[in-house]
Amino acid sequence: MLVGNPNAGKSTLFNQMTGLRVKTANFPGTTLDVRAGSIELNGERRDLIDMPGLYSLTAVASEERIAMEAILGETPGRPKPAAIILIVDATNLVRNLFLASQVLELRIPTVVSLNMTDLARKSGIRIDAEALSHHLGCPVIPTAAKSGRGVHELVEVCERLVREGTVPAGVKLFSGRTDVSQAVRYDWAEMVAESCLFEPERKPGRRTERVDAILTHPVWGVGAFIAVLFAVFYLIFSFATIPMDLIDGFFGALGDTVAAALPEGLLSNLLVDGVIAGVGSVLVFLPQICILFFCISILEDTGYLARAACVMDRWLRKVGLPGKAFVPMLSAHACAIPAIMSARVIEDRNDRLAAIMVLPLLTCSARLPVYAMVTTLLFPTSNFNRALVTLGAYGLGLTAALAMAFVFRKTLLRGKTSPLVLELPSYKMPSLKTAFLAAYDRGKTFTKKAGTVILAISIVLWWLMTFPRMDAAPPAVEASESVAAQYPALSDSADPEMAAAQEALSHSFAGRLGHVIEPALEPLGFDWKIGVGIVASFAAREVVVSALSVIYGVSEEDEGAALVDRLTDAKRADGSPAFGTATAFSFLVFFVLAMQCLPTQAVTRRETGSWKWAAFQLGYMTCLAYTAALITYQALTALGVGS
Amino acid sequence: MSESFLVTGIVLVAAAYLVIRAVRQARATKEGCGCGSDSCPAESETKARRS
Repeated sequence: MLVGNPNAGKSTLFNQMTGLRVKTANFPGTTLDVRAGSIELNGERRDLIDMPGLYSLTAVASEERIAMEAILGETPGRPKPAAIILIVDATNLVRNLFLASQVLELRIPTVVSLNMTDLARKSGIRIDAEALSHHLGCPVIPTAAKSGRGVHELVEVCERLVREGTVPAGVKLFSGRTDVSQAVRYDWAEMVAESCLFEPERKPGRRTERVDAILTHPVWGVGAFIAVLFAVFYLIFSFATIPMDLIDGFFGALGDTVAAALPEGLLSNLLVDGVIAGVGSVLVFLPQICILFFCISILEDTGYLARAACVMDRWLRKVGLPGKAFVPMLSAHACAIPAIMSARVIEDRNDRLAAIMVLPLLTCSARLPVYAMVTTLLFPTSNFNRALVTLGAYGLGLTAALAMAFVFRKTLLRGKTSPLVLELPSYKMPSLKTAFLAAYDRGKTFTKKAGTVILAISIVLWWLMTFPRMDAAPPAVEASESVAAQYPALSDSADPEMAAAQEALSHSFAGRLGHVIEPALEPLGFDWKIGVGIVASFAAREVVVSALSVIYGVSEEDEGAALVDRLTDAKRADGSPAFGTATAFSFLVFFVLAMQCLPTQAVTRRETGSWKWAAFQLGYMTCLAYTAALITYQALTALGVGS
Repeated sequence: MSESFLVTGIVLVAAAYLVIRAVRQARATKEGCGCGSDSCPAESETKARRS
């Protein structure tokens, strides 16, 4: 079992020992649940358990209680550990020895992993491992979990401990005493550190303090946070262009090849307009997803995100959210589902419910393809403007979350809030390997989703757009006349074949559904085709991109054209652009605020124990999204911005 | 005619996949979270256990 202070490197060591890749970050509290992997000890597979971080064995927080119960063998179905690997951060010895003083009294075979020795050495810190081992009464192995140094020796010592069952001698100073106070334990920790630790004389952390003074400043800190986010989005749009063009070109060529190889008919339409257009239009955004998670991993690793947490804590408390809500809010930017689950760390029920209710308003990675599509429609050539609008969309989500939390805390979910107590981790050089792995993992998940759920939805949607077929397909000229009669604005431009396609589309299941909901969406600037896309995206937000691609692929003539080009050229019945500036902004605002995610609803139901809260979340978010999109569209139209 | 059958078959398989996935996800939600996300604590423990 791995036990240690928060941010001591437990999960990194766990990954090194098991070969797994659980999430790690330079941020206290990354592990909130017990994780299990397995390693081979003495030729036998044994469970290796990664615990949430603990400052002491007198825990008050829920994640600390989980760890304590597991160590003491009080977790149902999990026996008392055969051995403990106690991870001690070499750069912060005294504080880590406090927990050590308690763990060593448990009479469980223990080995100390003196971790982050590489960082300690860089700071000029030297620790006499032998002397430390003498004081602690158990083996001490210097390790650097990130590079894997010392891990092999650690496993060997674990094998010996499990084989021989040697328990630590315990802290001699406390022997026989049961009521050792915190002060006595800290005195002991300082005494041990004094005899084993050699630290150079230095002006304590002056550079770090100077940087922290800016990054955690109430005003400059917010400015720095916005600047960092803008830089990330600018990088995303700048670096993603070339790989996106390549992917787009690949799917365009694939569509052309399939269309040329197969005789014209249903199968060819299904493959080109349904499968290739649907999946290709989503996979185009893969580079942006990978770059976003690469950047987030770098920011986590450096220790910057903990500073951002301090800045955010002030705002969270102002709106009545507990400081601990920051960790779920941070993970909501990847996906609302794990974020809602990690809200378990918030003890108070009303605090937790308020956090769960607003977490899906924060921009998750599934919204990124939608933002990228709309910003490209608005500003096809300016990366600066695209980054600015994306930053605005993230800001809108965050502002809406804080505002709704404030409303809930003042009405439905009243109560006092607790501040965040967070130890700022030291700044570290980020690991490129970890960042590449984070980007790879997220890219893999995204690609898997495109190849499974989005593929299946695209096929079903294509069917809904194609059937029922008209009894007798109208001759192109007749259809053209029919369209011209219904929509005079198209009479000059509509060519007979396109008119026939429009007629068939209106007759399809999706077309009929779209026409039913169109009156409700018209005030937002959406035509029935966008409406069908919104309905389809209830399965998952990014589905709207593939849905629009299928819808406009079926109805427009320019097969193989990129989605954005299709949307730019698309016209409504009255001849106006389907995606004018006002409509595009309204669409963006709707997707920033709308729920549009069934799996999130299921998890909300589970975590709150009631469908009532899940339904409430869906209801208020849909109303909020509708109202905000309505105001956006009507205001922009009134200002004369193109609809 | 055979083309129609092939297309209908593909569409039915896709629809069946979506239904089965929804049912499995609902079940998985009871144990882990079923989202497949690597950053999800319940999901990573499930994966770790499987491995």
